[in-house]
Order: sequence, then structure tokens, then C-alpha cells
Amino acid sequence: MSTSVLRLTLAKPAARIALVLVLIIVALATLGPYFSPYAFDEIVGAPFAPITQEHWLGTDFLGRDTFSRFLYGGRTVLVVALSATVAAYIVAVPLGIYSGLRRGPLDVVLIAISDVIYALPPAIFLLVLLASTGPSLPTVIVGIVILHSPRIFRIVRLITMDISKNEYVEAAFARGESWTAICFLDILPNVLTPVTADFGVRLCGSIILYASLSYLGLGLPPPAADWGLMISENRIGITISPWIAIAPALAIAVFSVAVNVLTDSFARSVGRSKEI
Amino acid sequence: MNKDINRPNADPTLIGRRDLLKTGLMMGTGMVLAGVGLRPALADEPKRGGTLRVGLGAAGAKSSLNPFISTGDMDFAVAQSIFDRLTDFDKDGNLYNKLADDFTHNSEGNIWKIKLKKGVVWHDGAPFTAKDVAYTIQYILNSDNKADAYPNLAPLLESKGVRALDASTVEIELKQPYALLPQVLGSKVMFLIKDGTTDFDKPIGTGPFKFVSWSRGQRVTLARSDNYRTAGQPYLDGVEFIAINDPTARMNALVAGQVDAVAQLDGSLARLIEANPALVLLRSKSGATTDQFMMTNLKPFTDVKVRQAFRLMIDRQQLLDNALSGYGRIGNDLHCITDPDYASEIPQRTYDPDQAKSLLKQAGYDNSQSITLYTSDAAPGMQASATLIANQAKKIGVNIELMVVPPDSYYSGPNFKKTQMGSSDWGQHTLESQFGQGYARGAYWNEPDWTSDAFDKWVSKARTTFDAPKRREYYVEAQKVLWNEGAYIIWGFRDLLDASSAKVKNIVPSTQRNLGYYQFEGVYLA
Repeated sequence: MSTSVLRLTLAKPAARIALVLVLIIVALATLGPYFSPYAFDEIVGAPFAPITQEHWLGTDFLGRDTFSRFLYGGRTVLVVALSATVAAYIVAVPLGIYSGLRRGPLDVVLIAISDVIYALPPAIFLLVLLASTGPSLPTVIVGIVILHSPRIFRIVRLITMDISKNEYVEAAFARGESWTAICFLDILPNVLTPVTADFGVRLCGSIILYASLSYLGLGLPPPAADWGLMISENRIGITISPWIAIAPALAIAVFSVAVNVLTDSFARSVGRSKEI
Repeated sequence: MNKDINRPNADPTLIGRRDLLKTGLMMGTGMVLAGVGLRPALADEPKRGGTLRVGLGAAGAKSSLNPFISTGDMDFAVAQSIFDRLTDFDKDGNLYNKLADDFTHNSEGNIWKIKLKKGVVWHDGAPFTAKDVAYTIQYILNSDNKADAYPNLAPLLESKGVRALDASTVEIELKQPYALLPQVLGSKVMFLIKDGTTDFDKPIGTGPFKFVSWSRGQRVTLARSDNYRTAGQPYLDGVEFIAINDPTARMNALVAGQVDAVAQLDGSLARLIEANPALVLLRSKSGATTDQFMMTNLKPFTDVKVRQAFRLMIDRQQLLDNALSGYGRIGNDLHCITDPDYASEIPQRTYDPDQAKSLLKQAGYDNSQSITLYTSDAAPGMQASATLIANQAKKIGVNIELMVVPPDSYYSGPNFKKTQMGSSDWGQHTLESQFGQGYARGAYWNEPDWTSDAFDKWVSKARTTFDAPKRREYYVEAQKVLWNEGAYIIWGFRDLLDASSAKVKNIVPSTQRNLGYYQFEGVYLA
């Protein structure tokens, strides 16, 4: 990413605020447990106790310190969402480049498969997958990868098809360069920028999907601290201690929106930097 | 989100900022609405009319109108409104005759005669007779019918042992003397059905309400029975049972006025209800439990020492305070605290992690293994207690992993009784009923598949003893076996907590089950 793209990305105040928010949430999720006043599963008082100096967000439905659980709870969301999104790109980018460049029967098959997956409602697909295999984090990641891959595949394939019409690619073929060299030297660098712009949007989708699954009890099992699970577990007390569910919900929402704003800004700046 | 999915080319994995704002707005509005209550109306005497809408949990795809196959609260409440029993238990747990008028037995105690009340009529206008009672007992005794009451009755008599002597007298000849027949006939699963009934698509009973319609696992509509035996009752035109499995959703439905009463509330919500003048908290001390069981046919619980250790590593006070918000009593690994023959003389088992560790060591317990505890939010404090138990176990190096499933598929799910540990909930029962259903060899609801010759011997002796103090001694001996070797962790007895709108009058909390034992004949809307 060039300096000009970075400067353009952060040109608007909204993007700068989004970046700060993303950094805060990432720091919270990664470093939070080290600053946690209590263990995430320690019983420290009565259920749904109000906010006090000792318990900044009160206690949860079991009497655990909500603030400590909040500090612990972001890690899984970020790790699962990030690893699922990265894995989806690792699967889909090579297939998209191959399909866009080589075409042929494999391209037809891959398009058909992606159409089928595209037609599946994501939440229903994940629920069926987890119901049939049993809830586990690896299955959740695999499910999200399956859902994201066709979408990434289609983007990369289209870009590849577009790039492959350029004269320098045709020249590379004419020079007798290998497919692998063309892929890595001519196609991939041109695919990376739009893929990076798309990454944030996918990451955002992964966060929402995992948080939803976690809310439905299909993420980490209790007594783990997890933002989605925290909302689910404490929903019974939302009228007594609304902040217990609001804090993790807000963190998920803020992170998703901030990532979205930032990547939108990045996508726009890529276009403008090219114009420049 | 749904609108996005319908939009051409929309990516349904993504959420737009507008959707996010909309959702936030809806949530905020919902929370504001949740704080709005209804003002109670004034009412001095019973009023006729109106439909009581009751929100209940534990309803699912396997819900049934067959009163002998109950899959949860919803099925039971429906059966309780449509059907009757020969005997029943009042709000304090005392036995009384319902459709039976009198019980007599011969000097040995193996032949009983039951005189029936006169003037009782089925919903279709046919009179209730001794033939109906005989047919009901024979129906239960037919193992093909898989009646919940089968394990209660099958050890006592055979099908041919019951006969109608005349229209209002039934004779029951038992396999052996049995002292507790009236009690057994008042068990929760001992409903009376009409002679010749083979299917329950449109059930007919003698209860206060008659069947109108249902949508399996979702809603059951009942209307007042004009043939009901108590003049003027029921006051309500009808009752609608609405399945709301999620306890929070149940509570919100009550606050929003979508239902008039809800059953099985979490203790943490009680103070919220008490603070709302538009709502009434219904609380009853009961023998109901939310317990855990250890499968005796799966390792490591085949070893009694491991079972004892698991019972000792439980901090019962913490479970009571944090899983039930203090609404209950500490348990001693024995059911039926309200039964007069409950063995209160057995010392209270206390939290003793050192003794637990020692027993596990003696049993050669491998601390690297992981025990799966199957649980759900199917009853108040169920998932909370399972989570706390896993937490407490960790303190002595025992690793318990929770397998959490949705409430509507908890008891009917494929993993029920298939994992090493499970959660369970029992309503209040008499010892006799509990032992018949939950401890009998081979009974479906003998969840941990626990058996003991010594236990069977004492229970059998108790059942054939007519001298009450002596019978109590035998029951105590049976409970000592349970206390030492049993497979339930009965850490507490939960108070029954329900709530209704203030306009709902005369739901009398009962020790037996929620919402006044689901007996709504005397209930009216102000």
C-alpha cells in the first residue's frame, strides 16, 4: 500500500475515527485479559448485581464480573473472524485466478459450485452444518470459509479475466513464461488491491456471522467468555442490567461499522490514487 | 437483514449500516416498551368471561395431546386442564379424592374398591363411569401405549386385575398388598380417559376445559366445559396455551401484554416482577428440582466412588445463591423434600473438595479426561447450575465440558442420556411417584439408568406396609441407599416462580407445579 493511498484513506475524519475505534477494539480483545480484575469464570457476587467500584459493569447472570468477561470475550470473535476470512482468501484467490486465466471445464464446475453456495442462506447453512457435525470452532471456521469463498472467487475471477486481456499478459504468454510466473508476477499484484478493499467487508461479515452463532449457543460453550455468548447468556437480565448485553453488542457493532467505514474509505482512495 | 437477502445481488453475509441503525432503534424501542406495564383493574368477585393466555416453555415438535406422553410443561398444562385424576394433591401437597369418592381395601391390602363420585360428565356429555377407570388403567398397563405411568402401575397389577363392579365402583386386585394405591392414582401422569379412547387428536376429558384446536408445539386453544362438575366454574371462556420456550421471551411477552401469565421464571427476574405493580409474582416452595445426573452405564460413573466424589465437589450454597438467585432450598441428593417420608434425618452432604479428591484418587480417576455434561435452558437454573458445577469441578482438577442444546429439543434430542452427565428437572412428586417413574428399573425417566437391589428391596417392603411409621422406616432405608450410591446430584429445591398480569385473579400457587398446578377453573380476569 503506497503512502498516498494511506493518506487518502485517512483523509476524511470518519475514516480516522474508524481506525482509532478498530485499534481500540483490537487492543481490547488482545490485551484485555491481561488487565482483567478477575478471572473470567470467577464467581464474585450475586447475579445481576449493579455497577459498583469493584465491578464496573456489574455482575452477570451467574455472579461473575461482567467487565472481566468483557475484556476476555473479544478474543474469540476476532480470532475466528480473522482466521475464517484469511482462510477464505487462501482458498478462493488461487481458484479465482486459475479459473479466470485458464477457463475451461474446471471454470464451469467452479462457477456451478459457487452458484449453489451463493444460493444458500448463510445463517441456515451454518445452522444445518453445526447441527449435523456438532458445534465446534473449527466447524464454524470451515462454514464461514465455505460461505465467503464463492464470493471472493467470483471477484478474483472477474478481475483476472479483465487483467488477462491486457497486452503485457499476452506478451508474457508470447514470451513463453510459465503459468505460475504469470499468476504471481502479472495477475496477483493487480488482484491484491481490490482484494484488500474487499477484505474488510468480508471480515465484517465473519464477525457478524460468528457473533450470531455464538449468540445462538453454537460458538464456544459456557463458561467461556465470548461477546456473542455474553449477550445470549445475559439476555434474561437485559431489563435489570442492560449494560451486560449492551457492552459486548456495542463492541461487536462498533468494530463491524468501523471496519466497514475504513475499508470503504480504502476502496475509494485506491480509485483516486490511480486517477492521480 | 431479510430485506437484504431478497434484494438482487445483495450479499447476505454482510450487514449494512442502515440495518444496524434500524436494529438498534428496534432494540431501543423494545426496551422502552418492556418497561411499560398495564395498570391493574379493580375486581372484587369472580367475573365470567375472557380468555386466559398462558405462555409456557418446553414445547417442541414432539409435543403431544396424549396425556400419558408428556414432553414438557405445555403438554402437562393442557392435560391438566382437559383431564382429571381419581385423587390429587392440594396446594400444600395433601392427598384428596378428586373423581374417587372413597377407597376401601381387604384385610390383606391386595384388593381395593374405589367408589366414584356421581354426576361427573365427559366433555361429550357421556357420564363418567367405572368402565372408564378400568379402561384407563388397562390402557396404561399396555406397554405398547408407552404411558409415562406404566412404570408406576405395572409392578402393582395386571390388566385383568381391574374391573368395573357397577357404574360407580371399581375393583382392583393387586399382585401383592400395597398401601399407597390412592397416592399412586394421584400421580401427575395418572389422568383418566374415556372408555375406548385410542387416539388423542381431539381429546375428551372431564376437566374444566375442553379441547378446541392446536398447532403442535406452538399453541393449544381450550374452551370452557359446560359439563364441568363445579357449578359456575370455570369462570373463563377459555384458555390459550402459547409456546414460548425462551424464558426471556416469555417474560417480555407478559410485560408487553401478549400473554396474561407465564410459568417457570428465572429467579433473577423475580425482583423485576415485584417492582412492577402491573405484574404479580407467584411463588411457591416446592419439591421441584433442577438437578444433574451421572450415567451409571458410562465410565467413569460406573464407579460409585466417582459418583460420591462428584456430589462432594459441589458447593450447594453457591448453586442456590447464583443459579437460583436464592429462590429455593439446599438439597441433599434426595428427591421429594415435601413428602412426609422424606429422610430428613440423613445428614446434609456438604462441600468437601478434599474428600472428593481423595475418592477420585481411590477410584483411579484420570484427571486428563473430559466429562461431557448435556444441558440446556429448559428449566430455571438448569444451564446456570451446569455452568457453575463445571466451574466448581475445575477447582479439584476435574474437567467438565458443557454440551448446550436449545430448550425445545433438550429432552427429545438424540444426546439426552447419551453423555456422561446430563441436566434434568423434576416437578414435585411423592416418593412413591418419584420412585415409580424416576428410579424404577428400565423406566424411561430413570435418567441415570441407576439400579440397586438394596433400594428395590426397601421400596418393595415400604409399599406393602400399611403401618405408616414402619413404612417410613423402610423408605428412609431406601433413601439411605440413594444418598450413598445414587446417581443424581440434587443440589437444591427450587421455588416455583411464575408471574401473571395483575388482572388475572385467583391463581393459587401450589407446591405441586407451576401456575397453581395449572388448575384454572377458579381463575378469572378482573
